[in-house]
Amino acid sequence: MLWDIIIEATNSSFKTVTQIAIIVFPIMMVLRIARETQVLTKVSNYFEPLTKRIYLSKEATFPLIVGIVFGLTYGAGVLVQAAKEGHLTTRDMLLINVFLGLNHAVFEDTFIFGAIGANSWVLFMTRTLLAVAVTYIVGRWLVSREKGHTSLSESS
Amino acid sequence: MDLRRVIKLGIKDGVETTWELAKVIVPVFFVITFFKHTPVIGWMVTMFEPITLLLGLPGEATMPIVIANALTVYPAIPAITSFSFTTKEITIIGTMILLCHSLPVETMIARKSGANGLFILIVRVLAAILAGIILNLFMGG
Repeated sequence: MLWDIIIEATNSSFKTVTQIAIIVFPIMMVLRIARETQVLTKVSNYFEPLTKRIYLSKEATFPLIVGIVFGLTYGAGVLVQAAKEGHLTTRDMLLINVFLGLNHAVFEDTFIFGAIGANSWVLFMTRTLLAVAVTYIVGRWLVSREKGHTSLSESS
Repeated sequence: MDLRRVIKLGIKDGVETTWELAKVIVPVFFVITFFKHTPVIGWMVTMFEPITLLLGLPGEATMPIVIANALTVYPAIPAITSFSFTTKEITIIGTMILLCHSLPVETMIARKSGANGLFILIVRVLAAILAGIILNLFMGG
């Protein structure tokens, strides 16, 4: 029995690691080129009209796009940097974290799950749409609360 | 842009990521394959199937979902490929896992980058459950 387990586990390990490696190498290459060419600073301009609609400021777009493409750790680094420079509001910080919590490192994750048998397209769309919807709802709630507070303080 | 340097870095990233994956995938495969030869998986299925069926998933789905949330996404992969899930099931498990995973580490990252960690955590758990229900209802296959 022990021998069976060893053979079975070795086979499946080898199969799965190869399957994923085939996907991971090209993705890492593309992501590295994207990072070196700093193409995202340009790309993020195009997304400003969209991020505005989910209650994010113009300055919040770049850290958001970086997190979506490169992942949470790298995205958080850019986020903390932008916050230090003082461009981001408290609302931006919370909303970026809501969005990125749900949706980060999308290319890597989507393709890896595609490699092990998921429908990547359904997975990617569901995750992205949910992140947009939830960020919109939370953003709207925050804005209405901010308005509520100012009108209260004005009346008093 | 120095193309040769970029290609070198890209290969390095690929090797590192594959190594990180292999490091967690291989031991998890051994542990799960061992448990598959014991009655433990059967107990897990009986215990959690009433819950997972609400998301259109067999009881075995408990394993990748728990592993992804407590640890990270990578060790959940062998917990998926060890069982014979259908495309629809893998898509549901994958979407739920990607919405909500590595909770101890990522909640800490959220907190460090200026958000309420508990709030982000609750949003993620609810979004994952919602995604499971929606996909189960509307995805064909």
